[in-house]
Amino acid sequence: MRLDFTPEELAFREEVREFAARAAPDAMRRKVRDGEELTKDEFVAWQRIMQARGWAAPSWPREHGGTGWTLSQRHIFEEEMAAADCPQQAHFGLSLIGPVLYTFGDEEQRRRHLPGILSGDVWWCQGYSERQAGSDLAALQTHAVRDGDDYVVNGHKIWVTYAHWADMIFALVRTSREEKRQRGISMLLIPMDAKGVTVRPIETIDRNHQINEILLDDVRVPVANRVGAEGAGWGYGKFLLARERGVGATQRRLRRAVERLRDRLRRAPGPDGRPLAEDALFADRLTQLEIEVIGLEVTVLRVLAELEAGHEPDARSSMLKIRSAELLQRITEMAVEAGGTEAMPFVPLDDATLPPGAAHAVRNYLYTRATTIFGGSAEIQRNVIARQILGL
Amino acid sequence: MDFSLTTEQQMLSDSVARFARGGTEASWATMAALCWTAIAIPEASGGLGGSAVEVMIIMEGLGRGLVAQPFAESCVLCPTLLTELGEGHRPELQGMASGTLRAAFAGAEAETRFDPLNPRLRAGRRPDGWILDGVKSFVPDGAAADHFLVTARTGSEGPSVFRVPRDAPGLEREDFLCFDGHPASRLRFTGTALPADALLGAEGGAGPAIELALDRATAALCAEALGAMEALREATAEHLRTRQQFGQPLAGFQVLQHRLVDMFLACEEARSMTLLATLRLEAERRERIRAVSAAKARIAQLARSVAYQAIQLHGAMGMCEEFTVGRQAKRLIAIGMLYGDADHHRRRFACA
Repeated sequence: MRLDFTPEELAFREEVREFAARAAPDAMRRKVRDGEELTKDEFVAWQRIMQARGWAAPSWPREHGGTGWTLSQRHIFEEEMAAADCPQQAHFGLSLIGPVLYTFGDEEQRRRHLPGILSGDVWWCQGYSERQAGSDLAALQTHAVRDGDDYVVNGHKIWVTYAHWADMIFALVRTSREEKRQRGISMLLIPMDAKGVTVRPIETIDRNHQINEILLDDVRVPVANRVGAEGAGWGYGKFLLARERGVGATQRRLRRAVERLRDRLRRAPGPDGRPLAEDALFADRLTQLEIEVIGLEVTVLRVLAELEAGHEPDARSSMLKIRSAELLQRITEMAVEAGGTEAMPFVPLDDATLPPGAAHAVRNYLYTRATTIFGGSAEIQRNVIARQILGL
Repeated sequence: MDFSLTTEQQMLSDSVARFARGGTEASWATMAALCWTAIAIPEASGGLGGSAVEVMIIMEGLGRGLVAQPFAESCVLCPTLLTELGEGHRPELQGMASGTLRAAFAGAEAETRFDPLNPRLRAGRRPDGWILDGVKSFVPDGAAADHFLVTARTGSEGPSVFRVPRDAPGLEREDFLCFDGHPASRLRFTGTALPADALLGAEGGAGPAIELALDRATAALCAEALGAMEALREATAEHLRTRQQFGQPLAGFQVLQHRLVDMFLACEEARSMTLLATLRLEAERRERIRAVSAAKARIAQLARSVAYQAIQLHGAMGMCEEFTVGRQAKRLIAIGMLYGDADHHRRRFACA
């Protein structure tokens, strides 16, 4: 047994660290450090920087333009990028649809779509949930009816992150009604500028516009835009959800988030005129959090080691999702608590100004309430573990 | 990164599982015959020179089978203390390796709570040796020990360790059972005279050895807790699958499924923490302390939550002394308190 990386992997860590130290422009780095959302332009600029380094797609195989890294290398990469406050790469293309296309898509789809994902020129969004199909995704009603070489798509999609930035959407739609609901679902790639696609913003409790509703009204989509076989979309959707839940960047960012929280506590005034970091009650809660983050880190390494040894990914990715979501929620919660009432001003009125970054803590705190809901809620993850691991 | 067992380690694991099925009847003599008692003792001292991973494997198995044997104390803690104090040549170690001689660690005192480095028990010099005065309030498995390794303060700064035979004059021993069924003793030293060579290592210089020995024992206890947690999780799953209420198995109720999932999450986290503690025992001091204390702090919490859930989900059966569930739960609660509870280890982690 060995809880250490190999000398080669440590050398790789040095290489990434060197790159990470100067890769991101200062303004971008500051935004990441303060937990501020990047603009679309910044995401695209960051993707170009990564592509220029040859690291456009850390998780992809070499033949499709990826780095061909091992899981350990990807892990080390994520850790070092997080430690240097580098942004995460936009994941809808890179982590979600890209792998679906190079795994299940045809040659033409790969040729058309993968380059835009690698360069950051084409922004993707994910059309899964509907008003009546959330956790019960197989209840989705958006349907596509074959008409010559096209499908005609009608319905709606909801909770679509960055749909207002997107050029393309990959959507799960019903192409037939089968006794087993999962069987009649296909995956379509739909240009967002197609006639009949309407995007409506949804404001969330963090007073942000990130998610949207999409209305699809007689949208004509060429049959060539269907991924894989008709009726096989559910399988691709599951493949993709497993990636969304699995060993991901979030877990590698928790440690840095705890460090940033600790910095904040050193500056925040606590009882008796001393920094909050020296308040025994508050410091102990931070210690508790830090210990639990360490636990998750080791669990990630265990899952990683098993995957590298050739084991199939299993429902333990649900375990990582549950724990990282909970921990992120507690970290952001403590950041707000550290501010006390100073963390409360959110929207300046009239000529008033807020200190730079003042609202980020609350915004992140409110935003991360979603981490136990999206990508399969914490309850769904527990159902998955109950069924697939515990056999209940 | 590699968390797999070698073939030998897998064989050891299987062997421990077979042994532990004997439950509380599983005997020390068998453990000695299987050479487990020698596993953590260096070869130069007559042992097998095994690693912390072998200790982890044994302890996890003992925890799973609820075997009440003082392996962590007599085969890990005490031998480590002797070798780290530069007493690796002592014949006692050979006896401990063969299982014929058992030692107990007398460190805990009522006044000093979980602090092992500042004992109040006093060791005074006399012309040809030492005189001990004071009380050790909690000595795990003291009754079965042939001799005690006793922490004490002398005139100099820092703790010292003395070897005291069980029949030393002026040593009174009271034995009791703890709530988890494990035996422990209280030792009262009243002018207990010892020869000069009873002092192990340098006077006042035992701090680092005590710390390391306790860290190894603590990592071992984490593994025992892990085994017990897994056993409780499995027993609870089996209970939910078989017990019928309201015309269906309890396992059909989602609210109970999610409770069991939370037990599973706790077990997985405990396994990660146990591995961390085990695989960092050879690291430099600060890293070792942070790993072991993080593990013990967290496992104390997780073990307790699994214990409570197991009792709750077993209903009244979880309350019966007759069934393993309740006894397993009590052992988990006890492990949470041994060698420092969650608060102690969180503090130690934060201050390291």
